[in-house]
Amino acid sequence: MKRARGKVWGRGVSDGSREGEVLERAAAGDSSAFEEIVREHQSMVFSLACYFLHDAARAEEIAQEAFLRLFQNLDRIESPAHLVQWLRKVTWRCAIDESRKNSHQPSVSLEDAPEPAVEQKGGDLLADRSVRAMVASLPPRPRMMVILRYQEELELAEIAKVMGIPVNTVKSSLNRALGVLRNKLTRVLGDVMA
Amino acid sequence: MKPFEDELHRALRRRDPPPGFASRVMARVEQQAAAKARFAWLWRLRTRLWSWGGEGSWKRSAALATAAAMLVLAVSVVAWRQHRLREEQRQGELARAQVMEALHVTSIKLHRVRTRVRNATKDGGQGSSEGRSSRAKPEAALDLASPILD
Repeated sequence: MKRARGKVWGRGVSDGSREGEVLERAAAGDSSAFEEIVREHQSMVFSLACYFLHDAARAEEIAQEAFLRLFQNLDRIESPAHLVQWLRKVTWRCAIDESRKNSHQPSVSLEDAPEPAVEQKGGDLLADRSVRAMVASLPPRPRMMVILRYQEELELAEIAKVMGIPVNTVKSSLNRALGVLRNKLTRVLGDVMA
Repeated sequence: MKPFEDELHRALRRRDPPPGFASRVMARVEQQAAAKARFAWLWRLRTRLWSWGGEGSWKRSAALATAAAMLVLAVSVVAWRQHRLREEQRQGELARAQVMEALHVTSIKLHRVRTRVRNATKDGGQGSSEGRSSRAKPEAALDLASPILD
């Protein structure tokens, strides 16, 4: 379950030099290399947008937009680690723009999006849905902080870097958001949390 | 790790996008690449301008300021030339109208003079005595002068 924390390409399963080589090939115009990058990072980008917007269809739009921007800016990407950081930043910006632009109800709910291929008990699924709905009810900034902290397992400084805000702001906002979530979750899923 | 944080980790784990996501992204990328190829020269100019001298350099700022100034100057010159052309046309039309008016007035006056001269000649030819014709002359002269004096 534990993943590498954004210091390496994707989930820390591949070797650094190969990633650099793929990046170089993509920057030189090799579309198969770019497709490899998309496949490597699609779940990170899609999940960030999906949990933030709570709408799978809009999340896919945002994820596509993030990869298109990456394609336009490939020559500015310095390393695989920079690529991951860059994608998170762009996804955050695109998602916040989208949420400001369209404040309508989700057309395809988050729950309709494909679940990971992991066996889960019915109770767990219900709990997960409740947690995601509560996260989605947070204001935009704390919402993204929670997602970056628990989906991407980023440190406070890394979250601050992605969102372009001071670390202390991240610390206080995240603590407040977690306090709210903890209270709500304890009320709703008291037995699970116990 | 606390159960609360475990729950958050589990609920917010990464999930895969709908099937065919990468292909859809690549299709959009291809589309964009084709569009980019059509405007490659503009893209190259933009990139060259943007990268010239590095981000925030005085060279780029100066180049952009010069380009903007030249654009403003060119637009001003074109606008001024058009204004001057319109002004010349307007003055030409005004002069033409004045000339036409003067010619019209002159033609009327000439017509009147000719009519009076003809009348005076007719009157002079019909008179029998010299005294009468000598009396008629000043009146004819007055008649001749009147249209011009009007």
